Amino acid sequence: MKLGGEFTKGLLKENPVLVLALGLCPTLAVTNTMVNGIGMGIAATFVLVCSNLVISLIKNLVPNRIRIPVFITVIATFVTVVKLVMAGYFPGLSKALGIFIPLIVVNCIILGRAEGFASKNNVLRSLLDGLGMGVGFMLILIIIGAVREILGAGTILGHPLFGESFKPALLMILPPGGFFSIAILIGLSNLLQKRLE
Amino acid sequence: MKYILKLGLILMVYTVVAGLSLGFINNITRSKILEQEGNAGEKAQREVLPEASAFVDFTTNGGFEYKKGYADKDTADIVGYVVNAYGNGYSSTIRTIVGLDTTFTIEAIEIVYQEETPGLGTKCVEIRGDSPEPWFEAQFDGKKPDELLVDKDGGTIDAISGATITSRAVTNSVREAIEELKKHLTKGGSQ
Repeated sequence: MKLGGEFTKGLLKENPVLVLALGLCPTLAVTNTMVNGIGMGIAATFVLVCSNLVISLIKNLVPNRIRIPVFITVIATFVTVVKLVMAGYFPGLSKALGIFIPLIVVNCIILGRAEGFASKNNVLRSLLDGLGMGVGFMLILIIIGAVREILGAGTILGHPLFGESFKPALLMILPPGGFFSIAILIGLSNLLQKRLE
Repeated sequence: MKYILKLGLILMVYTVVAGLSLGFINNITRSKILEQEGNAGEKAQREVLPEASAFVDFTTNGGFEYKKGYADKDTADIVGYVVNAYGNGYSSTIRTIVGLDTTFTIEAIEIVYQEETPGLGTKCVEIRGDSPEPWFEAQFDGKKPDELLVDKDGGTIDAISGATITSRAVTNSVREAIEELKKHLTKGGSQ
């Protein structure tokens, strides 16, 4: 595959959420506002790029038998870095995302790409793959976050969009709204992929 | 056997490197995190005891910390006290700041740290409707310590449905903190 393809495949063709159906738990849980989606997306992309980079570097030094614990150690280290930096410099976001930041450790996108891609490919390809997957993940979080925030709270990034008379559909920021948005988005992306073929 | 030892040693090398790098990052961010927590704490103490404009720290012989709130920097008029309550919740130690008037009646409380289950325990800081204060915290306003028990234990605080452990942790820790303060202040007679 061409180098550029390693990046762009994460955006649509192998989008982690829409096609690989990985990382659905944080996708559903943090997307009730757009800013949470952006924060989670940046954090996950950072961890994904760093862990892919390190794992592709050390892949020949890791015995096959213990590769999973080593990968998890690498991932957990970067997640802890994100958690500390966020708590120190972005306390509001850190409070809003709460437990979901430490849970990036077990986000199956990250281990999935480490095991399925970075441990078999060179550094440059792994870096691009991590970046593409991260951006693809973030894109979906932002779209779902925006839809749910607009419909469920009548705001975008915290700014009210409609007049006083607007009655938000509270359901959209509750868990069912996450399932609805994700289902519609997956349907649309399947339609789009069929058209493209 | 030798092979297993080798695997263990390799794994140890990775975890040691990871541990050292985290220690390094922690050194950089620690002061910043403490500062942020301090800012949040100062804002919270003004909110739970709005009448006070100056706070002075005290520590009892037993190591219990509290603050006296004064109406004005230059007067000796105590308007109330601020105490920290720490309760063991379901998945975190919940820290609550409690504002009290001089008769040990709660003015307001604010939960400043919790990492409870999203959607259940985190409802202790959920805001409902137009009220600016989370509904669970608002129940404590104007209460005396002996009323502080969740409804399941025969008290007046409605527990969050699905999060009894969280509700109990907050309620009991607040009550215990107030009783500790009361015991200290009445015994010492320094009210």
